[in-house]
Parts: sequence; structure tokens; C-alpha cells
Amino acid sequence: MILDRVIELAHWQFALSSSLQDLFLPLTLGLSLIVAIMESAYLITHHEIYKEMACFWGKFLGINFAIDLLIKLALACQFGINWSYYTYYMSDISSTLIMIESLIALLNASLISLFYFTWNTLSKKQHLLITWLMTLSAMFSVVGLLIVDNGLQNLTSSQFNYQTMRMEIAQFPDLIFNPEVGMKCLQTLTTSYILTITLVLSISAYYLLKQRHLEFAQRSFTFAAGFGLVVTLAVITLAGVEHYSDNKRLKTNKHLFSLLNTALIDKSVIARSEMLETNRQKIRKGIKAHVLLDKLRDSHHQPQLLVEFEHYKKYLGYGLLLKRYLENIEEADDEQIEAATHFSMTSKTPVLWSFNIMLGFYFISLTVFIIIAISYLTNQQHKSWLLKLSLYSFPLPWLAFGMDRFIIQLVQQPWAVTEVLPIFLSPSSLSETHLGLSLIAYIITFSVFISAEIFLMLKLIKQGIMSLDVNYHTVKINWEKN
Amino acid sequence: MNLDYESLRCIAWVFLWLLIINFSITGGHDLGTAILLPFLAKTDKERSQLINLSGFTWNSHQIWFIFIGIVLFSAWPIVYAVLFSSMSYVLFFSIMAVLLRPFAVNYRHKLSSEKSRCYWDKGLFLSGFIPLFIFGLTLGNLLKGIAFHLDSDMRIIYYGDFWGWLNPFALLIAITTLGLFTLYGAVYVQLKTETDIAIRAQEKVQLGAIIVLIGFILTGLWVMRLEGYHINSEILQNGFSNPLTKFVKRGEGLWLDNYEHIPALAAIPIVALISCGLTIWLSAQNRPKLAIISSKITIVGMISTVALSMFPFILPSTMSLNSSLTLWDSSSSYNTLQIMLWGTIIFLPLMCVYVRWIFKLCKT
Repeated sequence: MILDRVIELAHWQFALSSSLQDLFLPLTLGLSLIVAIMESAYLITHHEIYKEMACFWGKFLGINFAIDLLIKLALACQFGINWSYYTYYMSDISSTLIMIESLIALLNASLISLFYFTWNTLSKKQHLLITWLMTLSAMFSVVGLLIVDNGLQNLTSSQFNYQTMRMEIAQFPDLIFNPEVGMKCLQTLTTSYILTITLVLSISAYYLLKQRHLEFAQRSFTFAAGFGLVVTLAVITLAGVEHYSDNKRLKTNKHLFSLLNTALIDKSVIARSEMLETNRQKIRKGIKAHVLLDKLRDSHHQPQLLVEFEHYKKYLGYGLLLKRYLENIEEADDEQIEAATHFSMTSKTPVLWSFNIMLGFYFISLTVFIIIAISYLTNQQHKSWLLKLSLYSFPLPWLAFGMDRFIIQLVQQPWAVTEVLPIFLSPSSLSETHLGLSLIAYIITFSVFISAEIFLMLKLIKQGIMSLDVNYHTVKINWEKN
Repeated sequence: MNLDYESLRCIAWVFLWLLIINFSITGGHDLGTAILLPFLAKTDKERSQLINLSGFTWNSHQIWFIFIGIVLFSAWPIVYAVLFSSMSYVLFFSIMAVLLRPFAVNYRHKLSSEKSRCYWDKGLFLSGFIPLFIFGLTLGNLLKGIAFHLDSDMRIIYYGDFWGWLNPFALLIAITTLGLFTLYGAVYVQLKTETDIAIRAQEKVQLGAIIVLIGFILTGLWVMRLEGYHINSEILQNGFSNPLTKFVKRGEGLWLDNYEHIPALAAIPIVALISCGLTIWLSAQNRPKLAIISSKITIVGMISTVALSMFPFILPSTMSLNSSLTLWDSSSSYNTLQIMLWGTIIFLPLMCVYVRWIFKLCKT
């Protein structure tokens, strides 16, 4: 029997840590592309201002990437420290890709530092090559993360191995060439670009309102506005494509646009009582699976038992839900099964509500992009209301993004991995103090990271582009003096 | 080419220990120099000089450390899970200490007053001392065993606490490790600097080497009486990774079993001892180039001694002997190991070439 409070703590911790882990990813993705395009413009037009733009936004990229890397490091430790059972159970799916992903992250880190330090030493073309390599490696690293994410949601490429008690990879190519991944990449890219564009728009608008760095700010603003229009069009097309594509796969795909469709389907089709009945059946089959598993362990793999187990093993996770109520699953009575059935249901109403709010936020920022585009056509782009609009609409997509991440976790509860592993079984230890302390540690760590990022960015905004030249020449000299 | 599960596991095990050795050799002198900082440098200028020795490359050395974690996670998932969940507090301290380093190196020169610089220098000292101390503690506790238990669902139950880590045997190994890296750092300083600092470094080489010699011999004597572990049942080298299918016995001096079976293995600790003695002599003769080679041999020898004595164990358990993790029953699945092997064969050389290229770019 596990206390409700412990379950609650575990759920909060899981939701928080998994929703915050790629908080800084979008900026890395978006800014690296923006910087690369700006530098290409510099090479084509030979206009110094484009170099300044690339440098300035490159600094944001650097700050963001450094913090992102620190978070990744913290997470790498945290999965062993706090989520050891989850790690053990699922790591076979993610391990190879995480290894490759971290290699790419290191590559990306070194490319970013090259981007900083070689402005004066390399020729323009060589430097541009490095910048584009940096952008590409950022994209690859995201693709790697998305494949892992997808592999943990659609377990088609892996199988439960009763001898080792964990999911093991069966078909590695299936993991990588999963049709879901492509769509998810597009979605992640568009979301990241929306977020980055609002950042660039609002900072440029701030400078324009303050009458600082006028030419620089104007060009950045125009650039972001054009980019924003492209992204808006892309989002509309994507949503359309998603809507008309195969509905079956929406069940597992838990991203922004498909969530909308799932929500709509859920409303009309599946009634709660029906769901309860199915889950009750699944839990009973889960108990059966556990009985078979225990027999298999004792009787040294009788082939006949094995065949039977293969049939039931996909319900094993539902059986694990009963661990909340008693240690020995086989002895579960009707009352406990009933409780587990209710536990297995997530309430959809608050999720639907917050989902609508989130979509609204995204919608507003897309509208802002369109308004800005129209203002360019009518030559009103310097009106102060427009600048204020772009400045103050900045937090909206970020709120939406945060909510998006959080909702995905809420929809998933009580599962850490849907229908396979409940969250309350995933932590290393289920003592209340351990969970409480580590939750506090999370909150502190992430607040430190987030406030460090905000502080550094604000400092950079205050300094403006004046800081650039001085810094770029002195960084290396400082190092030598030091 | 398809290798069988057994060889893949062996390769993964060797790779893991090679990475640990590699980190000790590349990152070791940075950490060692950091420890020596308050003892070798008397003036502010000397301190800057010492800090600059690690210069541009120290962060690439620390990346090896991250890489060890990743390989543990990918190839030895349950070892990673047990080690990290049992080490949580210890690990927390060492990460905090490691994080001090980039700040100390980057912000130190921006401070004008000597007093505030002093704080960062103390920070630097801790950033070398704490990780090395914890590295030694971990090695000691690996040999002694960790208090964990695996239930039939493979959930990890950890019985130990923070103070359990600080047992006398682990402390002895921690001190020996500190001595070893001080020795290495001092030889490195002697090689790279001249004048006063080099002379002071020479003294520290002697001190470090004496600690290492005494510590290593004491450890060896202790291990004869220490409770080692041995697999008592048949081992399926190609079987599934389930640690609970074997029987393990514990007894005094069982860590010396491997040397009894293959007496030639005893050459490794002996070589380590001899090269440690050689380092003293070479350093006293003022031939730091040779001394650094012999100190590297000492490190390789001593760490391999730990690895080989424990073979095939990776993480023995004191609480439930049969839960002990060994090379044959705690690896990833066959497929994962296979893919990882090919991934490493392809990417590692590419990485090396790439890193060379970067260093060239940075130098010009």
C-alpha cells in the first residue's frame, strides 16, 4: 500500500522534470537558423550590419546553449539518481540514440565556440560553413531526441523480455525510420521558430521604441517578420495535413496539433463507462500476466507457459498499477481492482480546457505575425502600437509552450510510459522525504537555470550591440593574459 | 561481422575501464594541479601561471567524464541505476565542486582585488580535491561492495547511507588516489614550468609518491584480509542479463583469486609500484619528460589493478550477495551492444580527427 501523498509527489515530480527538460531547446534550434541566414546575407551583400546581427543573436544562442547543456548534464544524473527503475526498464530503447545525441551535442558545443572565436581568423566562407554546420548539428540533435521520445511512446520497435524484466530493442531500424518521427520534427521545428521569432521581434521592437541601434533593430525586425509569415503559412498547412491524414496514429502522437484532433475525437466517441470496462478487463489480464511471469521464473521457461505469456504480456503494465494497493498482485480482490481501474483513468476536462487556452495563445502570436506582415504591405511598420504589440505579445507563445509540455504529462498520468510502467513505480525510492527533497531540489535547480538565462539575456539586451566589437576582440586576449 | 554476446560484453567492459583510465590521464593533471595550487604558488602571478597550465583543454578533458556516464547508461544500465541512486548525495557534492571550476577559471582574472581572487583559488582547490576524493571513495566502495538489494522485479532497494561511504577502507583508497593525482599533477607542473615552482613541485612529487607507495602496499595487505566476492554457480556468458540467476559467495581474500588463476596478472600491480618508484628517481634527477611517462604508467597500472581484481564483478552487493552485478549479467541487450560497438567504431575516430582539426583552427 502506497500513500496517496507519495503518489501525488511522484506524479508532480515526473511531470515537472519531463516537461522542463527541453525548455531551452527551441531557442537553440531557432536562433542557430536565424544566425546562419543572417550570416549568409552578410556574405551575399557584404553589408557589415548583417555581421553585427549574426554576432548579436549568436550571443543569445551561446547563453542559451550553455544553460541547455547544464540542464542536460543535470538530467543525465537525475535519471540515475531519482528515476532508477524507469531508467532500467526503458533505457534499452534510448541508450544508443542518447549516446549519439550526446556526441552531436558535443559537436554542436565545439561548433558554437568556433563560431565565436574564429570571426577574425577564418575567411568569410569558412566561417559561414561553420555556422551552417552548427545549425545542422542542432537540428540533428533534436531529431535524435525526438526519435527517443517517439520510441518511448510507440513501443513497436521494442519488446518486453521476461528474463531481464525490461523493454529490449528488437528492431533498431524501426525505431529510427518510424513514420511518426518526420511529422514530429516538423511540428517541433515550427514551434521552435514561433518562439524564437517572438523573441527577436520583441527585442527589436524594444530597441526601436527606445530609439537605440535603429538600423540594426529595423533589419532584425523586418527579417523576423518575414520569417514569421513563412512559419505561419507552414503551421496552417501542417495542421491541415495532419487533420486529413490517418486518424489511427493520433492516439499515440501527443503533440500540439494532433492533441487537438484527439481531444475532438475523445469528446464524441468514447464514453467514460466504456473506458472503465476496458481498463478493468486489462487489469484482470495484467494479473494473469503476472501469475504467468512468476510461474515462468520458477519453472525455468516451459515453452507452453511462454506462449501463453506472450499472449498476455502487453497487459503487464496494467497489472503493475495494482502495486499501489498491495505488494503481491496475484492476491488482489475486487475492491482493489476497482480502485486501480479508477486510478488508470485520467480526467480529460481540465486538460481540454487548458489545451484550448494554449491553442489560443499560439493563435494570437500567429495573428500578430500576420498583422505585422500586413503592416509592411501598407507601409505602417513603424507605428508605435505595432511595436508595442510585438513587444508585449512576447510571453504568450512561451506560456503556451510551457503549458503544452505540461499538458502532455498530465494526459499521460498515471503512466510514465503509457500502458507499460506507472509513474509511482519509476522512482528510485518511495519514501516521502526522498521524493519531497528531490522535488525541492528540482525546483531550485531549474529556477536557478531559468533565472540565470533571463538575467544574462537582459544584461545582453541592455548592453546592446555596442558590446560586440569590444568583446570579440578581447575574449582571446583576456585568455592569454589570464 | 557478428560477435557473440560474450565478446561484446567483454569489449564493453574493457571500453568502460579504458575510458576511466583515459579520463584519469587526460583530466588527471588538471585536477592534480588544482589541488597543488595553494602549495606550489606563493604569489598571485604564480597562481595564474599554474591555472593557465590547463588552459584551453581542460573542458575537453572533463567531457571524457561525461562520456563515462553515458557509456555506463548505455552499456551497463543497471550498474548506472544502482551506482547513481546509491551515490545521490556524494554525486551532488562532486558535481557542485566540478561546477566551481569554469567559474573560477573564467571569472578569476576579472577580479581586481587579491582577496576575492583568493576565494576563487580556494574554490579551484576544492574543484580538484572533492572530485578526486570521491573518485577514490567510489573505487574503495566498489571493492568493498555496496549495500543494495534487487527484488524479483529488479527494483533497486538501497540500504546504505552517506556515512556508510566513508568507511576506513574506502578512505585509505581515497587518500591513495589523492596522492596519485598529486604526484601526477606535480610531475606535470615540473615538466611545464621552470624556476621556483618547478623546485617546489619536485618536493611534492616525492611526497605524493611516498603516499602512493605506502597507500598501495597497505591496500594490498588489507585486500588479503578484506572480504572479496566469487561466483559460486555456473556462469552463462551468453545468457540474458539477469543478475539474480547466480549464486555468489563472500570470503576473505577472494579478490586475489584472479591472480591465483593467472599468476602473470600480478605483474600489473608490480609494474605500477616500480614505475611509482621510478617517478621519484626521475623527478629527483630532473628528467620530467621521462617522469611523466612513468607516472602515467603508475596510473594505468593502479586503476587496472582494481578492475582486474574485481573481474568479473562490477558492483558487488553487501546486503544480498546474489544481487551483485557482474560483467555477464548486467549489460544491455545484445542488439544494443552490437549497435553501440559499430557506432563507436565509426564515430570515435571521426571525433578524434575533428578534435585535432579544431585545435589546429584555434591555434592559428
